Amino acid sequence: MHPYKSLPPHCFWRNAVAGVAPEDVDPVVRPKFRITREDKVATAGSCFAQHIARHLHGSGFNYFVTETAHPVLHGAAVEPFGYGLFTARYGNIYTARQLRQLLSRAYGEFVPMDDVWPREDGRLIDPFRPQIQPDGFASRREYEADRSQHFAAIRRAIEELDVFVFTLGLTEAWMSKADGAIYPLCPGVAGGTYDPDQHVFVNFSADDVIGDMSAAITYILKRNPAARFILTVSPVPLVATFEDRSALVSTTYSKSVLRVACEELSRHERVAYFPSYEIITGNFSRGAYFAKDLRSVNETGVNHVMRLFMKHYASDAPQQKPVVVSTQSSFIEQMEDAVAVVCDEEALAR
Amino acid sequence: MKRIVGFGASHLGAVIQAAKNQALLRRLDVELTLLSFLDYTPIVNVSAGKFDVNAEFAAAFRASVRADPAPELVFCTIGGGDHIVLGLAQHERPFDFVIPPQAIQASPIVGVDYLSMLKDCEILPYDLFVGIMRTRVSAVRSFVKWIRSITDIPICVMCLPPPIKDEEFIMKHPGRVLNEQLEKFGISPIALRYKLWWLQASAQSEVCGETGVTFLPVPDDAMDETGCLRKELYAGDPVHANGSYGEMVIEQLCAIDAAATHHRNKAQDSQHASL
Repeated sequence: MHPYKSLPPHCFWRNAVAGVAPEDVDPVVRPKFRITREDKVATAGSCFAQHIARHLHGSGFNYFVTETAHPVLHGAAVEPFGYGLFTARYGNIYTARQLRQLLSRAYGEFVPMDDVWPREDGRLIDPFRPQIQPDGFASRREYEADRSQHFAAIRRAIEELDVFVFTLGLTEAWMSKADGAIYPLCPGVAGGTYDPDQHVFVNFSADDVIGDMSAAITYILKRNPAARFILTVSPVPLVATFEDRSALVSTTYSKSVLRVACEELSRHERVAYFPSYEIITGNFSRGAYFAKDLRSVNETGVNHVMRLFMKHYASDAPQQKPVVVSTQSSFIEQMEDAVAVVCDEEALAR
Repeated sequence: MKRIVGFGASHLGAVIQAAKNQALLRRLDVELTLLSFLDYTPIVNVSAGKFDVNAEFAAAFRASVRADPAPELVFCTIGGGDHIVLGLAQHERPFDFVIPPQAIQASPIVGVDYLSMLKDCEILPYDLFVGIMRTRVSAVRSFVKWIRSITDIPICVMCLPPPIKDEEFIMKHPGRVLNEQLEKFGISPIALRYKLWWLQASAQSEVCGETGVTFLPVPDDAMDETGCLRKELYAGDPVHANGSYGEMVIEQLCAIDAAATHHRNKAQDSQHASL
């Protein structure tokens, strides 16, 4: 007799992985808590988090978006402007430090010295969400007003959310030497100019990530004590590493650090870890969940992740998208009808 | 005698009204043939990427431009209600946008008085409004292309009348259906309404530039000191201008026509001189 004898089947590789059809592999086992259809679920994180957000939106969960496209923009191409990708228009948040700083910025407690990146054509780029508008901001006033309402949307999200799903993506980042501000992308890639005197590369350790995420979670709990957290690690490999080594080695380091950090952080009673990283990268799928570039996650993989998410975390959420009574276009449609009638009536005056 | 063919949607009504003034037409020595979309519905059938103009309207237009003697100018007024749709009634989520200084400098549309930001409003991306307006005025491009397939007579596109500032007038003359909308939502501040008009007019002007046709701006005398439509030019609703406005437009058209004629004559003169 030894203690392994009494372990449940999921503890054994054969039962959990090797002896199970790939599509039936379920490493979640049990959820830390359940999400009701009334719970407001907010999302943020790296690009993989966009998949989670998209599926949450269509799954019957109360996907919480505090910065929605205005209904008057009905019919306009709002998606490239970052509406609905996440709870607010923050774009991808790749690192824990970036999340921590964003929270502080939203409450006016941290104002980075690098305020804006002007382009030669007069357009303005937000250093901290450089791709949030395809062509940047048209004017300083628009930029400042937009940022101000963006921060208000973040504050509302933090104070009202029930569940915050955050996907950790990277450990590598670029930092301002002046004040430690973390950029989502290296200056010069999607705006701004890289300057070695001003910008420095950082690669966070497990302690760094744990410290930053703990601070972010504490920050949110201070303003919203009932908040619960689900952490995931993005399975998407690094597109490039600034370390002088293979991108594969850097990917392994980065994901390992993030995975360790999640393990530590999920000891907190209000923090759960959801193994989307394992579901996508586990060898049981033999790479089938990656696209041809061996980096992007395909829809089959995302579906596997979200199926398990729903199975374990949805307490009573419907499996189908509920019928949503949209007011998005009603204003425009009503006004179009009204103006059409007024224009028709013009004929009567002839 | 100048001969001009005009067509368009409801804003043509002002010109149709004005054309009843025979004294004006005699003074300007002009003959107008006007074809209103309201008499040919639906005016276009857009499906599967095709732009099919109403057959009856097309026949009437062809007959007009192929008349003998031939007209010297084709003018049109297409669309025009987009700024009203987006901004006449106050939205329950009040919004605004900022027109950047470089766009103001680049546009021929005047009106710098209304470019400030409204308070307590959601500020939306300027680029999205530009995109919406460009899409909404795309019918101008389609019609210009259609006219070009029929005739090479010079084309001119009439700017839509500027917004009506007087909220009391709008509430008193809302039109049958707008009444319901305005009672429900209220009227948007003129600053927003003016900006939306400015954006639509700029988009029209841009299309004209791209397609090589003349953009006919709002007559100077039609605007008050703030760029809005002068009160005496209001028609009976919040959207349109009246026959007096139409008279100003006809005067503008004749001036354009005269300039074109002058240019042509000058070219002919120089040709004669070189012979």
